[in-house]
Amino acid sequence: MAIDAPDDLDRQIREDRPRPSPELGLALANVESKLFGRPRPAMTVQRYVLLHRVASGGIGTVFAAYDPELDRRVALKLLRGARGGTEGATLLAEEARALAKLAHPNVITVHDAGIYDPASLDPLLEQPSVDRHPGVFVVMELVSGPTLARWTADAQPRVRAIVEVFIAAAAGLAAAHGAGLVHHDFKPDNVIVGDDGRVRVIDFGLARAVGRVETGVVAGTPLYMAPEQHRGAATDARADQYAFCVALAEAVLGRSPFAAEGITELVAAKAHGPPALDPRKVPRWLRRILARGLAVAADDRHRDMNAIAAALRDGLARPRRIAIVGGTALAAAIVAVVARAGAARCEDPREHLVGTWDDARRTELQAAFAATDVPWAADSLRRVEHSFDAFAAAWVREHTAACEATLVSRTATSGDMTAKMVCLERQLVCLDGIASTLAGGGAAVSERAVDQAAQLPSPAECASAAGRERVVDETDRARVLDAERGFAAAETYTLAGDWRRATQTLDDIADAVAALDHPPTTIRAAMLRADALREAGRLEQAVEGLYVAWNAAEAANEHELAVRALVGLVLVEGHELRRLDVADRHATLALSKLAARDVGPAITSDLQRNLGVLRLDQARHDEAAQALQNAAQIVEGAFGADHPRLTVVLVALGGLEASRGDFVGALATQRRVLELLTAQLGEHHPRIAVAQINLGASLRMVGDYAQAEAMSKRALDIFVAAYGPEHPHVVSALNNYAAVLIGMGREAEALEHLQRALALRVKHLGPDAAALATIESNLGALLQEMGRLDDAIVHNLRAVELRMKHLGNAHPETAGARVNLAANLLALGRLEDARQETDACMTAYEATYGVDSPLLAEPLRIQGEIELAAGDTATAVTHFERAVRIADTQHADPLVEGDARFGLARAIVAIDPVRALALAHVADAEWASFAPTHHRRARLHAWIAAHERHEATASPD
Amino acid sequence: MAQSDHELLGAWQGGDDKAGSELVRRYFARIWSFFDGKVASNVDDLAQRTFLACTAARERIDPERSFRTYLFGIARKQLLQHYARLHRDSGIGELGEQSLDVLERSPSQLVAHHRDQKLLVRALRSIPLDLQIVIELFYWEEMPLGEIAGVVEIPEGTVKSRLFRAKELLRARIDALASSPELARTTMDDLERWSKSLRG
Repeated sequence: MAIDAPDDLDRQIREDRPRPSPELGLALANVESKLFGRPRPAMTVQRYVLLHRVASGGIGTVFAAYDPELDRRVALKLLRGARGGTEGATLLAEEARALAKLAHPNVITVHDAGIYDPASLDPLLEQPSVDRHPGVFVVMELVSGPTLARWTADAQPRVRAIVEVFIAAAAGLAAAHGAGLVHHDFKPDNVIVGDDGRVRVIDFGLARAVGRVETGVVAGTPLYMAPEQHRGAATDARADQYAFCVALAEAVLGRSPFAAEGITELVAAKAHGPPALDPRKVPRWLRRILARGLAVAADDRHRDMNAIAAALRDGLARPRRIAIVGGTALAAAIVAVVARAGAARCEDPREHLVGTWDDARRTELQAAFAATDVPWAADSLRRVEHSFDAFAAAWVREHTAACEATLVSRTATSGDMTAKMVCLERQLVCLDGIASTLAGGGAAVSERAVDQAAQLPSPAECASAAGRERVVDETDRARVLDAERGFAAAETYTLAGDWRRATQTLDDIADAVAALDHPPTTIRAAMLRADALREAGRLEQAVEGLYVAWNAAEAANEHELAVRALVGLVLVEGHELRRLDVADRHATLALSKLAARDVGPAITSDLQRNLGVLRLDQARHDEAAQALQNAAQIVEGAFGADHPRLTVVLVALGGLEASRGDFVGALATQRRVLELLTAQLGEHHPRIAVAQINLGASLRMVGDYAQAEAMSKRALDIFVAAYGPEHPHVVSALNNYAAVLIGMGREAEALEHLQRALALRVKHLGPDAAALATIESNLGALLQEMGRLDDAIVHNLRAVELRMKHLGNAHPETAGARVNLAANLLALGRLEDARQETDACMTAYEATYGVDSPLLAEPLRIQGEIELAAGDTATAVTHFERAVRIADTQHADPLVEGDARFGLARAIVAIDPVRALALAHVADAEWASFAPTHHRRARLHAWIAAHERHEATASPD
Repeated sequence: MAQSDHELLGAWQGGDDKAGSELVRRYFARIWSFFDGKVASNVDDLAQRTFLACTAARERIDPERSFRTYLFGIARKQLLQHYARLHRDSGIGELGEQSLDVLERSPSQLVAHHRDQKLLVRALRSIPLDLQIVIELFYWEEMPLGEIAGVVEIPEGTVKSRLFRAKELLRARIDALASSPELARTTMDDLERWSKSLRG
């Protein structure tokens, strides 16, 4: 019956009608029992009771069944389309039984096989539903788990996992081949990755059952068929090997290894030879194995499945054979030791240090440091050598421990040992990078030599390397080592300030880094580049580099690197570029990331420290203090109380305390910093001088002028010796020293130093630099003290102008300059102008520091003096009272405190002369403890004398 | 004397289980196979519902009408309802116009269930469901055009053109499959035949 003339398609539609499933009988019984309530008769094949269908495929249907004799559930496969009648069926059943004799963990266990009459499954159906041919059944173990096809699709396993599964499958195939059985239809659907962890090959030889394996008949699953199968030639175990290799390639690539669109193209591609496999997905060792297994001629393939399995196993374990830098092949030693049966000695690892840290290099290093001819060179050299020696000793210890754990006491696996050795190797080249850079001399040897040496990782970290360390093949190994060495060298150069060489070094290893295609390595390179740019002062570019690194880290899911990039951004974008809002967002994000997952004390403390600096810049002083204290705690807890990291934090903390006027606190912190630095760097190091300057400033603020002077002088001497008399660093030393001298009344000396400082700074930075304001302000204050009011006002005005320009009106430093200006204007009698300045100053100070800050004492005092000069005694008293109260309770500068008391005394003398004189005496007493020749005191004495006389004459008789 | 389908149905509706059982057995293989070739699971369930639906109908069906048509009509409706439930939340549109590949979209099932089917069967799954049903009824059930119209609920005059269209679509799909990489993963019983037939 056709629509029009019957064509080929008509015929084929009819021919290819699916044959009825052997399950029909079971289904009918099931439905009938539900419709009519009849108990289901058990469908049985011999003694096995069919339970339900599990799967159906081209070869047959698999049922879950119950074996009452052995009381267990089994899988029962009914094969359909058995050809050759009874004879064919018998043959197949025999083969299945042969498979049953083969017991191998990677071959599905066959319990039983036999012939059954399909009609027995549905005796009551009106129409015969299955062939009249006898059917074959196979009883197997019931395995739960996905097929290999399903597993690779769902689990998206990595190459290692895939290869391990295939090694197991290969073992199964090998066992079957050994028993004379060929699969003929190996493919991912015919491998089960059991939930119990065992891989099993199924459907062995059953292709024969359905008549697919006959010479001349081309049948099978085309993608996996060997070229000889396509030709219809005789096939043997090597066809299985071909199929195995196709399946393996497909699994690793995620698609067919052949670039072919249809069957014809596929056959042609295979005849052409083994396909080229994407090297990004397939490691080189695996490509070689597959290339051989996919050879066109069966004779050219691997000897057998065992050979392939061995090759695959070797490939996975391959990276064991790594040699270590320094000439001796470490791993060759490992292999040799392992190979020696019963060997239990580990060789002396010190040999590996040769070329990296040995006598020759030590000499080079000494020469390099000596050549710098700076006062601190000897101290630094000693400390660097100490760091390197300590590292080398720890390295040797770890190496020995790793070796013995595996080879002697056997508490660790050889995989563990490999990971540890790879870790140690990387650390050794890091040392090489630093040592070779320093030994190269020149600009690389710097003030920061101690920091440079402190880059060294801790060999103890390698003890837990197993599972963390990435083990790579030969080509990549060379690249990894080059990259590590380059990173260490670049960082060394950057710390020395030689950002050009740092960048050059990074350029030199750029190819290696790119070829590795390992995101963490690429990101580290990007961050080091940003560091170098920052050192070069190219801050915008550095920030850009950090953004790139950050994005890459997010994309690659590298949590720690992302946090590190953000921490860097907080500092550079915030503190150095002053984009405080942006930096705030970075900090918040970094904190939330850390809350989600910890990244260790180094990065956490860095974040807290940079956060502290940010908060300080934002004038959020309490939060700044909190963050810096957090940082200090973390560092002390993790690295110890004398670690260089702690110094950095404490310096920031000291600066914070000083800017808040908490000079007592600042003193304590800064003393500690000085102690730490002296221990770390020796007495001649410029950084000691910086610490002394900071400490000196705090000493001055609490009135200890003697010590402050000693500190400042020493600092100046160190700088001049270190840098020469004209160096920019010398300017801040001069400035500081002058400030102390002023406080001590040695005004002429101070003036000289300040003028020199100003001249130098203008020379270095130009006439409009923000940094000039401090010196201008100091000059103004000094000249005023010296009575040169008109000269003073020029400088004071300039100071305010510069601060306003660079920091804005509300900034506390602008307010500070206004204080001096106000005092100056007051002295010149320009009361209204003075009032304006103090008002502006008070507003800014109160907004920033609150209403009780010790810094308010001075502007309040000046306000008092202004009102006193204007004749408004009552208001003057209010101001003075407040000034005195604050100065007293908040430990303000004693000079200021004394001034305030004196001011108050003069304000109330008419109303309450007793108290006034008492105040004056207290002021005198305070001043007596320092600067005994100060002209202030002279003035005070004169006043006291005058008023006591007055009291005496005014007292009633 | 063997009773007619209608007689059996009537008896079954009247409560005669034995008649019902007889009727079920007459058609079970065909109805069950109708579902088995389409849905991934619940085949028994759908078959059961189809037969149950017969008894649920109170009025007697027209004895002139073929019981087979009636039964297949119910089966088709059950199938569509099954997919309607499955795709309740997606805006899938007219179900009969979707192919099984779309209706049964489930990656693991595609991998596991259908890789070993014949090329024709694979191609059938890729044409609209109602067209597939038309093909099956015509070629495998050898149903007259008029009955097919009744099952698929279309005017009798349009069945012929429907069938023609279905064949052309099928031919195109078989061509496409035969030259697609997917074919390579299908177990073929006789590759030669396919290559020959397609070329010729």
